[in-house]
Formats: sequence, structure tokens, C-alpha cells
Amino acid sequence: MKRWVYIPSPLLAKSIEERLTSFPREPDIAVYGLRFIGVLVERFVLGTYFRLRIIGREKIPSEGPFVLVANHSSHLDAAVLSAVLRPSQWYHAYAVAAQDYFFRDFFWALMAVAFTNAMPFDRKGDPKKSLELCADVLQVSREAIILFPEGTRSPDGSLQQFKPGIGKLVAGTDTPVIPAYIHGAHEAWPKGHLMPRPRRVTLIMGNPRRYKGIPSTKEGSIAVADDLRKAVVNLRESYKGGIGG
Amino acid sequence: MSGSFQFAEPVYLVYAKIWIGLLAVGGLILGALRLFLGRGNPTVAAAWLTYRSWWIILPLMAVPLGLGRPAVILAVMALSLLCFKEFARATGLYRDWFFTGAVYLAILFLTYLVWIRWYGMFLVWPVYVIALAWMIPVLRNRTEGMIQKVSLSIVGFLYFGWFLGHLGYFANVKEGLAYLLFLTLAVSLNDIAAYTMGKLFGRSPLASNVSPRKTWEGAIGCVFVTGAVVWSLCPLLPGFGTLQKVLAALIVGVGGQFGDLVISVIKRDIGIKDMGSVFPGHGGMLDRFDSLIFVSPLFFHMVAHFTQIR
Repeated sequence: MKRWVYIPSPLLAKSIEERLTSFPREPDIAVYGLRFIGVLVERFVLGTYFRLRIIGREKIPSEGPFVLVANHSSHLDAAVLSAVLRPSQWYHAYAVAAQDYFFRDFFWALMAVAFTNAMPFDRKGDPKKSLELCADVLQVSREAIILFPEGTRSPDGSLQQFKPGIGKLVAGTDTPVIPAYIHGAHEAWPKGHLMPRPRRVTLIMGNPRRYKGIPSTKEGSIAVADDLRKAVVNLRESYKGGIGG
Repeated sequence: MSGSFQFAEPVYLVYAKIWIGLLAVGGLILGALRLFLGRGNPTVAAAWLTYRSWWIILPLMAVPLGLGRPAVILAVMALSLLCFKEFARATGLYRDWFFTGAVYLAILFLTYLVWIRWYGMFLVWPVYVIALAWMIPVLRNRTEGMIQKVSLSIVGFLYFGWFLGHLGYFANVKEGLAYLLFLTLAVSLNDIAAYTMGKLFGRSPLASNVSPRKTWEGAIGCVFVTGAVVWSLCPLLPGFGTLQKVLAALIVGVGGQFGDLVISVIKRDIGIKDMGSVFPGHGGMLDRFDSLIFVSPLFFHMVAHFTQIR
């Protein structure tokens, strides 16, 4: 007779705080419910207060893993990118968020998970392990990742250097990377300001890129990061040149 | 049981006094033990944690009972849902939303049947749920691991939904308040008696594979203590003669301990220690309400047999 196998939830004896911060996240009605409410609130606020405009929404793959990268100058960015997701992706696209910042206490973790479905990234302690976790999300559980290769919010809204971590993640794989440019988020809610201002935010999506041919070495990673930065710069130029006028 | 507030009912006040007295005595005993044996004593520390949780569990039971019929039915529904949720999480069934969703819906519909007092349908509802559970793999065109999932769903509904649902049906009975107050107190005291008697006299193991702490001495001592408790509480129950008293004592005293061990069987088979972490010192919902699940339908049908319960 075949033996029955039980796989209990790893969250069995965990508090709500631990459930929010542990990763990979298990199906959990409390956390999913929180995220559901978060998406509704966030879309309402982005649509009214920030009059969000999305150009090229159809460039998001309807299924399978992908990486979404963009410029980072505001807390709004992750929420703006999460606004292009389809309902089936609401719980399966994770915004990579600094563990030391967004998971420092219960309130921040609650907000980060509700509004961006954040996954903790240990950028100070063990970034290598966190990168492996990201790779698992893409390759093993085949879910999506939202990532800001600049690593932190730009203080003046200008585009900083892209860190090679993104390259390590996708070089030599078939995972599509979708570059995006967010315009207006810095004006609406720059670093260091407590209250966001009602400014129009525009999100421009680029065409998906694949880096199967690039070797997964240090040089390859840097090349991927540079290529993606160029793609984001091009989106910015195209926005200033025409679409946004 | 009426739909209006029951806080001022004589029987409610009697039980309120008993509970407050018990909590006070328990607190004094534990406080004294803490003083003499020291806070570091692991047994006393664990008992203190369990005792403190009673201050949360008790209002959760007492307030719905005092609010009347609708609150009791809804509270039992919430209890069933939470107990099934823990079961689903422990067995891994929760990953399959079709089966867990079907059981949740079945529990909700069962609550509706209790609400509209459709007794016949309440009794045969498991037939339809079992049929529904077997339909799911067919409709989804799946075979892999389906016997297990269907079985887990059926057990989950029957044991946590339907068994506990009887507790809700007491709210439809004229003297339901007295029965419910009796059950909650007797079952809780039975748990405490089982623990205390085991600690004091426990020697020969009862079912060592299921629970190493359960002993024959503890179990028999517990039945006697519960018998005495039931005997002294029975004057508060309408229409209870000697036969009914003996049956009630056996159902609560023996059934309560079986309920405890049933959850142990589930946990041991899966290989986990606690079902959850809702109540510090107790574990999850199932660790706390294990005995009540087993006792509720047995007690209900005993009462239904001897009295005009509908």
C-alpha cells in the first residue's frame, strides 16, 4: 500500500508577525487577505491621488517567471510596478525589499507585504544567500520578482549605477527581464519626505529581454546590468522625447 | 435557548459564580506553588502559562453564551472553521483550495441548517458532503493522491464541522443554555482533572505510542473526579435522572480523554508537536478544544434520546 505523506504548513506554530516575514510565503488566508486589501487600496490611491498612467501594460507575460526592473527614487515605485500585475500574479510577484529597512518591525513588514508583496532581502548580512532565494523564486517555484537594481532610492531622482546582482540572477537563463521607467514618483514622494504630494506618475514598460547567451560570470553580470540600465535610460528618453511630451 | 441576552438567567449566574470561584482557587493554588517551589520550576511555569490562557478562553466562551442563540451558533461556526483550518494546515490539505474550500462551504451551509432548525437535514448533511468530496477529483479530472485528499476532507468535515455543529444545535433547544454551560464547564474540568490526576498518580502507561504522558491511574482518577463533578452539576440540568447522570459522566469522563488522544494520534501520525500557537501553554485551537469535539455529539444525542429536544 502506498504510504500517505503529510506535508504540514511550515507556519504551523508561528505568529502573524513570523508569517509575514518568513519566506517563501505559504498560502495563508491572513496574509493573502492583507495583500488583497493592500492591492485594492493601492490601486485606488494610485489612480486618484497620483493619476497613474501605464504605457505598455501588455508587455508583462501572462504566466511564468519574469523579473521587473525599474529606476528607484521613491517609496511609490514598488507599488507602481505592482499595479501592472494581473490578479493571478498579485500573490506571486515579490518586490525585493531591504530586510534591514522594511522588515525592521511589525508595522513596516505589514505595509511592505500588503502594498508590494515584499520579500526580505538581506543586503547587509548575507546578500549571496538572498540572491539564491531570488533565483529559487524564479527557477523553482516559477514566480515573478520586482527588483530595483540601483539597490536603494536615488536621493535626487537621477538614475544611479545598476548593481550586478540582477545580472547574476538572469545571465544564462531564459527568464525574461522587463525594464520599466517610472516618471514622477520622485516629484510625488522623494526620499526623506513624510507626506506624498499629489503629482501625476507615469509608468513606461519596455520590451522583455533575455540573456540566455550571456555567461553567468562577473563580467557577464556587469554586462547585463549595464544593458538593463541602458534600456531604462532609453525608456526615459523616449518618454521625454515623445510619449510624455 | 432564546435569542435575547441570557446574562441574567439564573443558570448563567450560577455557572458564572462557579467559574469565577474556580479561577480564583486555581490562581491561589498556583500562586502558592510559585511561592514555595519557585518560578523556575518547569511544571509550575507551564501550569501558570496554561492558567493565564484560561482568562482569554473563558470570556470567548462565556460572552456568546450570554448573548443568546445567534451568537452561540456563529461562535460554534467560527470554532469549527478554525479547528478545520488547523487540521488542514497540519495535514497539508490546505494547499488544495478545492477541497479546503468545499469543506469551508459545507461548514457554512451546516451553520445555515442549524440556523433554520432543519434537524433532519442537519443529520444527513454528511451524506451530501461525502458525495461532493468524491465529485471534486472527477470534475477536475485528477487521480494522483486523491484518496488521501478526499479522506482528509471527509474526516475534516465530519470531525471538526459536523461533530462541533451539534454544539450549535443545542442553541435551538429550549434548555440549551443549561446544557451548553454544563458541557463547557464539565469538559474543561475533565481536562484539568486528567492532567492533575496523571501528574499525581500516573504510573502505568495507557497508550504509550499515542501519548507518553497518559496513564491508567490518571485516566481512572479523572473519570472519578469528573463523575463527582457531573453528579454535583446535574441538578442544574432539566430531566436528568440517575441513568442520565451516569451516561453524562461516562461521556464526559471517558469521551473527553479519548478526544484528547484522538488529536494526539493525528499529531503523532503527522509528526508535529502542537497544532498551532493560538493559546500560550495550550497550543492551537485543536489542543484546547480536542475533548469538546469528541464529547459534543455524544452528549447531544444522549440528551436527544431522553428528552424532547426538538
